[in-house]
Amino acid sequence: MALTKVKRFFQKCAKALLGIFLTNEDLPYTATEFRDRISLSRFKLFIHALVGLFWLLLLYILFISARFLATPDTLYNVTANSEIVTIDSYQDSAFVPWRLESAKRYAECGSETSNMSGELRIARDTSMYIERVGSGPLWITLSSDSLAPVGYLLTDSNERIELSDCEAFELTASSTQSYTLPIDGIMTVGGEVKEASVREPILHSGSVTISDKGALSRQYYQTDPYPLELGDKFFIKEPSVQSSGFIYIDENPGINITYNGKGDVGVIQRYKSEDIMLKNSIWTKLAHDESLIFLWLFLVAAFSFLKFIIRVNIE
Amino acid sequence: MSMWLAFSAHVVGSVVHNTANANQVSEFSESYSDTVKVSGQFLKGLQFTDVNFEITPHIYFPRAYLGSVCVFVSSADGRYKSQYQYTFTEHVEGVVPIEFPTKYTDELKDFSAGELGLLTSAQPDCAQLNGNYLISAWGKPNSLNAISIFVRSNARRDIATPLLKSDKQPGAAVKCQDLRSNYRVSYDKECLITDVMAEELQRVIIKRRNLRAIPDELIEFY
Repeated sequence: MALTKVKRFFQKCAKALLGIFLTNEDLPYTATEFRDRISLSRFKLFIHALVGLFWLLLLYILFISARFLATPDTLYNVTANSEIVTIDSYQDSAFVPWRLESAKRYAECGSETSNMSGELRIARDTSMYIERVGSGPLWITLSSDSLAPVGYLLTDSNERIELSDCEAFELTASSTQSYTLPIDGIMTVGGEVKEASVREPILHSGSVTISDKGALSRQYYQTDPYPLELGDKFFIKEPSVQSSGFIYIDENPGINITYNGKGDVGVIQRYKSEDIMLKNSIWTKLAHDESLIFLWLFLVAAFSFLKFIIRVNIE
Repeated sequence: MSMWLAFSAHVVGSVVHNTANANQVSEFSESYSDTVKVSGQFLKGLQFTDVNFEITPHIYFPRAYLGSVCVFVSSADGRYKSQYQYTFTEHVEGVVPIEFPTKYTDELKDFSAGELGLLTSAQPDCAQLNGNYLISAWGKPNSLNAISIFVRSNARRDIATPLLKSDKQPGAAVKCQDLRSNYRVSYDKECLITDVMAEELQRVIIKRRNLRAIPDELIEFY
């Protein structure tokens, strides 16, 4: 009794697995007839093995496709020449310490100044504004979210100076004095053109390149760079890791910045305009990764070939 | 400019005299995605934060009021602006919804409450805002103890301190934070004052610094 039930179950499974070859209705059989004719064939085992392989291939391609389309993070490579870069700390990650030489410090963002050289250790929950309008001095402003200190200074004489909740540092860049400053955190490149103001720091030019991993190769490929125009502002919305890169300042105007970061979507904002969302869509993914299309075409070819083999053997 | 304002004040004045029984909107002007009159105003919004967002201004009057209020609306991204005067012909008190005759309701619904600065003031002349500010909200506020002040500030540091009517001691000072998600044309900072009863608020002082001390901004409440 139990044996009959098991046998009937397997017969039904065979009917379902083999029935896929009847889906486009050019074979004049019912699924039951089709299964029974295959079971009477001399090459029964061979056909069953091929059909098994076909189903495994189908499941594999479905799995790869799902993984390919559901990749949540896209890698953004950003290079820009901007007059302002804003950096916030990512979750609880620490900022990179900075070495400052002959900087003028404006304590509490007020008028009281002092010259300093040493290492700047920045506390978490601090926002950092790096500004340079034209070829003027470089301004680094640190401001904490609350009234907590933005960090401390470790001077060359190893003296520790506690900072207030708002600190500004002025540095002069020239042909003989340039700077490379590493940056980690959540970046916003570019500022806004605002009402009732004469001159705001803005972005001059730049580009954003999206990178993603191929479905099969798992190697990064790059899309065409998306240009950033004068006055644009760019940031990665809902970043999944902290962005990292560096800024470079010399006698040329503005700040050169390059960094990469991962996240859900890159956002370009413009003056009184809709936001532009940069995202790796299914179409850009397919356009830059043909291996998946090849796999699906291969599956269709295997389907037709297998149907031909079965037909030759059962008729 | 001043002649236009004088003229509008005259018109508004006559409107007030002629409306005996019904509350009335007057001098409504708005623009969306258009070249608008640029304003150098520091204060752009004075709103309750705990609110179910709807495109109906609700104004809070801590005590009875009769007369005109000035209403200014500006989106943070600078795309929408409007201003009008609303006249109450009977005494009002507490949270009062007022008419907002915009034709851009669908566009405004895409904003959040924090992206749409709402500033109201209890005074007959809207040309000069110098106090008597009212706290308002987009929709009926669920509570009256958390207030957002939206400002347009170039200062590196803005610190807001609330002063209360009953208590001589100033309330807790808060640092105004940059608003990050928008392209900020009209206003760029939010000073969030919490744990303060709206009826107790007398004024908020905003101390500002930008490598030098800038004169304080004073927000006087009705």
